Amino acid sequence: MRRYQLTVNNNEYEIDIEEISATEFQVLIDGQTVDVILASQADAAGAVITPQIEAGPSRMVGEPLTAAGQPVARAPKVPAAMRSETPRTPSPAVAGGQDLAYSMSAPMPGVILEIKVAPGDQVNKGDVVMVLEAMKMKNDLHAARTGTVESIDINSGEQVKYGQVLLRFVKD
Amino acid sequence: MDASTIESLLSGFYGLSWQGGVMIAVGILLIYLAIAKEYEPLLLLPIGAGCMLANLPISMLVGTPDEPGMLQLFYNVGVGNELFPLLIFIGIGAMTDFGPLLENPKMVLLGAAGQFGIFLTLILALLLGFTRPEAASIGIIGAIDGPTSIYVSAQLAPHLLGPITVAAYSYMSLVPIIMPPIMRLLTTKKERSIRMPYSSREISQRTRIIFPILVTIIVGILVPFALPLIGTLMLGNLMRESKVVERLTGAAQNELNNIVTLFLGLAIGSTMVGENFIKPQTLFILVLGLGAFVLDTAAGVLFGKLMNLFSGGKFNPLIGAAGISAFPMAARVVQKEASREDNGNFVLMHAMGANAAGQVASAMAGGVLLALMAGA
Repeated sequence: MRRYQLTVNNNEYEIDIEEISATEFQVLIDGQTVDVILASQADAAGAVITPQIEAGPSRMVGEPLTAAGQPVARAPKVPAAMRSETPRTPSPAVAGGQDLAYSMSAPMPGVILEIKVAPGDQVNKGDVVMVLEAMKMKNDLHAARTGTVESIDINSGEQVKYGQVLLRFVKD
Repeated sequence: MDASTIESLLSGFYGLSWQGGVMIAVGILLIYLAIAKEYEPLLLLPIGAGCMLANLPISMLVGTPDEPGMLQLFYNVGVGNELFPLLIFIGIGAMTDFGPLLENPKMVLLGAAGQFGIFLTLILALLLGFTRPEAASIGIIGAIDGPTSIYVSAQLAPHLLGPITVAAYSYMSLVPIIMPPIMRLLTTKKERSIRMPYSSREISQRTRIIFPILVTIIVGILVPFALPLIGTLMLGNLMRESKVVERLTGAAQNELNNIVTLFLGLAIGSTMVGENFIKPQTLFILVLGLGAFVLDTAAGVLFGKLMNLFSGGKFNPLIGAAGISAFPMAARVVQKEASREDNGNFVLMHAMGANAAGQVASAMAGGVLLALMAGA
C-alpha cells in the first residue's frame, strides 16, 4: 500500500492506494473506498524532471507543479522536444504508456506454456487465451474483454514477470 | 513320496487363509486405484504390491525373524528406525520453494492453524478407546503429510503403521475431492472472489540460504523432537538454494527420493498382514484420519476468515485451507477454487506460501506430539 498526503487548495487529503493487480487499485480517500481501474498511463516523470535539467531550472519551476498536481493517469502528453533522452527502466506493467485496459498482463511470475490465439483472432471475454505455468501448476489465462487480438507480446516458453504485458487488443 | 513331501509341495494351498485372501484383494484394490485413478501412484502401487506379496501363503519375501526376506529387510533397515521418512524429507526440502512464504511471512499463521485438527482428532481417538500413543499417531494423519505420519507412528504405534500410512497417502491423493466441499461450505461467494495483490518482492539468495539454517537452529532448540524432520527438510532446501551442489539436489529430488519411495512403499505394504489389519480398529483409523483431515481444512479456512476480518476484507479465506501440509496439492486446490468463482483471480502464490508453512508446521506438530508422548 502507498500513502500520499496531498494539499489541494489548502485542504489536506490523505490517500491510501492499494494495488490489487497491475491495473486495479483500491483507493481510500478520507475514509471512503473507491475501486479504480487504470485505463492508460503516460509516465510524465520524464517531462517533469528532465526539462529542469535541460532547459534550465528558472523557466520550469512553476510548470512541473501543474503536471504533478494532476492525477498520473491523465497526465498531459508532453511535447517530444521536452522528453528525456536518458534511458529509463520503467516497471514492466507500465512500459511505454500503453492503454492498459486493452491489454492483458501476467497475474504472477511464471512461464508461458501455450498461446492459444494469434493476432487478428476474435476472442470473447472469458476465453482461454494463454496457459501460464507458475509453481509447476498450469493456469489458464482468460480474456479480460471481448475483442480482436492486436498483438501477442510474448513467445511460448518465455519467462514472464508479474505485470508484464502478454497480449494487446485492438482498440474499439 | 511320503506325506511330508506332498505337504511341502502343496504348502501354498495349505497356507491359504481367508484373511490373506481379503488382504490380497485390498492390495489389488490399491494397485487398481494407483493405475486406473492415478491416486498417488508412486506410493499406492508399491504399497499394494507389498501388501499382496506379504499376504500370499508362507511369503518368502517376508520370511521369518531369523531369515528375513526382502520386504522384512526393507522394514528393518528403514521403517522400524524411521530412516526412510527422513531421507524422503531431504528430497521434499530439495523440491520446496520457500520463496512465496518468505515474500509473505504472515502465512506462517495459517500453517499453524492448519494443524489444529490433529489435536482435535487426538482427543476424539482417546475417547474411542485408543491409547495415547495410538491416538497421537492417528491425529497426525490430519496433516496429510505421509513421511511425518510414518515417522511419528513408527515411533509411537508401530503396529498401526500400515493403516495410518495407507490413510495418509490415500487422503493425500483425495485432496482435490475432499477439500473443495469444505471450503465452499465455510466461505461465501464474495469471500472466495477476494482478489489479493501479488507482492512482487524479490527475495535475495542470501535470505533464501539463511532461512533453512535459521529454522533448523530455532526448531532444534524449541522442539528438539522435531529436529530430525525439520533438519532433513531444511538440509534439502539448503542444498537447493545454495545453487552449488546441483548434483546433490538433483539426486535428492530424483534418484534418492524414488528409490526410497519404492522401498518405503513395499515395506509399508508388507505390514498390512491379514490378522493385524482386518480389525474394526483399522476402520476407525480410516474414519478418524478423514475426520482429522476435514477438521484441519476447516480450521485453516476459519482462520483465513479471521485474517480476512482483521485485514478489513482483503484476505481470501480459501488460502487458509492450504495451511495443511499436502504440498503442493492443497495450494493448487485453493487456486482452482478461487478461479472457479472468478477466472481472473490468482491466489496461487499466496496459497503456496501458506502451503510451505504448513509443510514445516506439520513436521513441527509431529515433533510436539512426540515430545508430549515422551513425557507421558
